Amino acid sequence: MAVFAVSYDPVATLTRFADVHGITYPLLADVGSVAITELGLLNVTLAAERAAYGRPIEDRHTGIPYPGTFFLDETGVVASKRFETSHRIRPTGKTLLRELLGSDAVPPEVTAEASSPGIEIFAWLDTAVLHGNQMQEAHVRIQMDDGLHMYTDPVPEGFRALSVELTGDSQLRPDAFTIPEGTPFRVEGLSEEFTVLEGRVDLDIPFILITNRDTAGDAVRQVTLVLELAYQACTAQECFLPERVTLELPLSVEPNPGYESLDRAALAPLVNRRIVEQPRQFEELLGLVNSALEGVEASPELLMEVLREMQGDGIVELSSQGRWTQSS
Amino acid sequence: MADFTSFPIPEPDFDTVGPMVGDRFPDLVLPDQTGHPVDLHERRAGRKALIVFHRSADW
Repeated sequence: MAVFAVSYDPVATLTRFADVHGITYPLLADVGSVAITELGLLNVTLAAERAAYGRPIEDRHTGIPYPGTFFLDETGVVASKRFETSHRIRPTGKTLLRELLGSDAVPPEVTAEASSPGIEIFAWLDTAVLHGNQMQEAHVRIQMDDGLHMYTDPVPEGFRALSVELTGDSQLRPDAFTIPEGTPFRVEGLSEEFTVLEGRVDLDIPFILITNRDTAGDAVRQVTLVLELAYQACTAQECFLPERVTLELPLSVEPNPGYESLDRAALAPLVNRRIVEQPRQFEELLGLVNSALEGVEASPELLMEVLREMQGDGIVELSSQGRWTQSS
Repeated sequence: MADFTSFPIPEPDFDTVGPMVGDRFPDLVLPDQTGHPVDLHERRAGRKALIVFHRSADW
């Protein structure tokens, strides 16, 4: 897989950045934001967004793109894309890894369960720690016994469609998500066609940890993400009473590591390790995680944090020569 | 419960902003950190690719 990064920086800035962080994939210099503008990616919502954060707009903010990623297939066609409105919002390393490597690569860190007759619900998060302006997804899996189904909107009069609400701490803001479409279903005696879900239903609900001047702080804080599901399970013959279940997912909110707060003596070996030649299959992956993380100076440490998480999960291992390799 | 609808930021529809899913990513030729021009599709050389747009390497 090939990795590219695009920004409005001049070549000299990118040369320095690449040297410091040992980046070998192309950092493309779109000086004057010509390509960014032609591609339609120029961030024009920045003024309103800065106002929401209580900060003035600055010169350097002109010409930046919406922060995000395009995934291309082998023929160069856009297979998927991921964008955030705010130039400060970043997916967590785990969220991006999950998108690249699939859900099997990222085991659950925080879990919750609920059930009602014939229905089991699991909810989980990829990571138990969030930093300000990071985004991850709450995953929900609904498993229905054979013979049971749930309606999705529109529903027959008097029946309840599946709904999912994300609440909890006011700093956790849900983003748009869709409930899967379901299969057509006819109710005897009614001419309309309805849609139902059955078997296993998977939902991915993105949410963002909002921080701004008023909420930013140094302390580690525990917050809870609350998922409220409402639904009604039916068989072909009858419907049971509507159910409402609540799933709670605790999270730890940690302040962003700023450059000043990093222990530079501890940072040096991390940077050196990255300059040491790495197995090729991970070089691009490391660059990918690096590009997704907020802040230039904090990148090596956060990068190592993600690698340590993967090590803890048995996905990668550190050899006695100090090289990261994929676990066999 | 917090009012999640009041976040005052206009949101473009990213489905229609920029290259869309299903489109071939446009040709892009820009210099990289070596100072040499890079043709994105040529450098991609038939592999899957990830193209990250970010604000700056400087801030």
